[in-house]
Amino acid sequence: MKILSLCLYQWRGNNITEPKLLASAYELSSFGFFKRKTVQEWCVFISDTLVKRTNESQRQSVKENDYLCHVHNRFDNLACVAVCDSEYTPRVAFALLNKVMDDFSELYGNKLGKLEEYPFEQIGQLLTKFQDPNQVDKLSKIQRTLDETTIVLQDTIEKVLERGEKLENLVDRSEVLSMQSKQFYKTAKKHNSCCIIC
Amino acid sequence: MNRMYTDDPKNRTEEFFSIASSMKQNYSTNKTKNDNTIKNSKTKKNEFFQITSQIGKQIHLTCLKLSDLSKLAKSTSLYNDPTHQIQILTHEIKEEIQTLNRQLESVEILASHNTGKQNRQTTQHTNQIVGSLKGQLANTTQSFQGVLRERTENLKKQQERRSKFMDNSSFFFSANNNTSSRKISYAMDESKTNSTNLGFDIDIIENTNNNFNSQNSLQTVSYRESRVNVVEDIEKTIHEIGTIFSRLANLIQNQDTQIEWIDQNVDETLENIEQGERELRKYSESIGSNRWLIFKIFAILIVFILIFVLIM
Repeated sequence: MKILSLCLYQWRGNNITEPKLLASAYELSSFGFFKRKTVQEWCVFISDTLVKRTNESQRQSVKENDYLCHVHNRFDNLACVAVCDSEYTPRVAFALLNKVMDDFSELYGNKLGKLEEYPFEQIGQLLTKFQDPNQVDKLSKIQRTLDETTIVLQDTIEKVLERGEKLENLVDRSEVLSMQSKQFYKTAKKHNSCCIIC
Repeated sequence: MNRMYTDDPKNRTEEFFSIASSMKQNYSTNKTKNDNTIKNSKTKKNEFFQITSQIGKQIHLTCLKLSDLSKLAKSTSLYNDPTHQIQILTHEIKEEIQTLNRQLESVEILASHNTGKQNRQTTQHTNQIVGSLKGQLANTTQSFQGVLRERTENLKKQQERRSKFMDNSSFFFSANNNTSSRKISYAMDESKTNSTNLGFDIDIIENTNNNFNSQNSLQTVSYRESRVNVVEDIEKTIHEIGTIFSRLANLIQNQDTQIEWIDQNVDETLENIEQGERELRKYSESIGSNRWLIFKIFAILIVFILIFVLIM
């Protein structure tokens, strides 16, 4: 469950210009040292191609060998690609893409196309943060807490049932106690009234 | 009237039949009015028995369906998947069990209304009937649970076998596997539950089955649909939690009466023991003060014995 690369492009949706890579981050520690450069180039190549092939305001998930690539081409000329392995939940990947583009447009909203360099440090941080989707995805966190609550509640119900049994037990025993104490009282009274001599 | 004159002036059979049928209707309405007053006292009991016999028949039909479902669930062929039928049957059985649950609850309420007018034996009889129906329904639901569990295990094995033969785009599988294994483990944790509690467990097991079925189709679900699904699941879970809470509250309220009984009994015991202690104390005092009387009585007895010995 990991993301290999995260690339942010600026692209106007026509086939004339090439998408411009604004920021990217890579997590290639699972590859050997000499392979990393090739893998990085491959990621960039795939991201480029995908951005060119996605229409405006469209999300796509493409399977390539063992990897799933999620691309989101937004309406404000931004496009973001995440190359993840096949186990990564696409919902979380798209959430990541949204977050990257939102942060970027917050930072550089109306200056797109005017500056040369767009230093965007957070992309690396977001990549590492989103490596574990279970931690980040709020919906699955909610689901998990709810499931834990159901477990706890089921335990509670079992214990309440046991408590019910014990209460019934107590009811019976207290009834027996009360009868016996009544007998005790009656015999004591009987002793008092009749057997004066012996 | 004209028709009679033109066709056959003497043939008035139709008029006769119509008069006879109208008289018959009048007669039957009068009769039912009389019968209602006579039968009113017995209708309530008859209603009860009719409803219970209906419930019994329904339970039997559900059992038959359940045996069909278990046969289908046990089929382990890789390609001939009776998923559609299984889903239809599961849905039907679940609905029937829920309606039977509701009917049983209403019958219970009816029986408790009627107990005021019946003697002890009839109340015992009705209670026994209700208890046995509940037990049967509980058995049916438990066997239904067992069948669903078999089905999920079967699906797991099928999935493993499939993965050996085919290329597995398996992120759906592993993503759903966590949720489904969690959900199966809650269902397994259930130990003592009555039929009302089993309702939500069946929901949980059905969700796992549905998850497996959807991943078998191996479609790519779009981003929006997946979010909607997750939110719907969360909503369902919250609803289930709500029902669990209300059941919990119900149970605790019922146990309240038992606690009051215990309190009463213990108070009575305390009173009795205090009174007994007082009596014993009086007795011991009387014994203590009685010594002189005992001496005098023994003296008189000895005198009598001496007299008897002297006479003999």
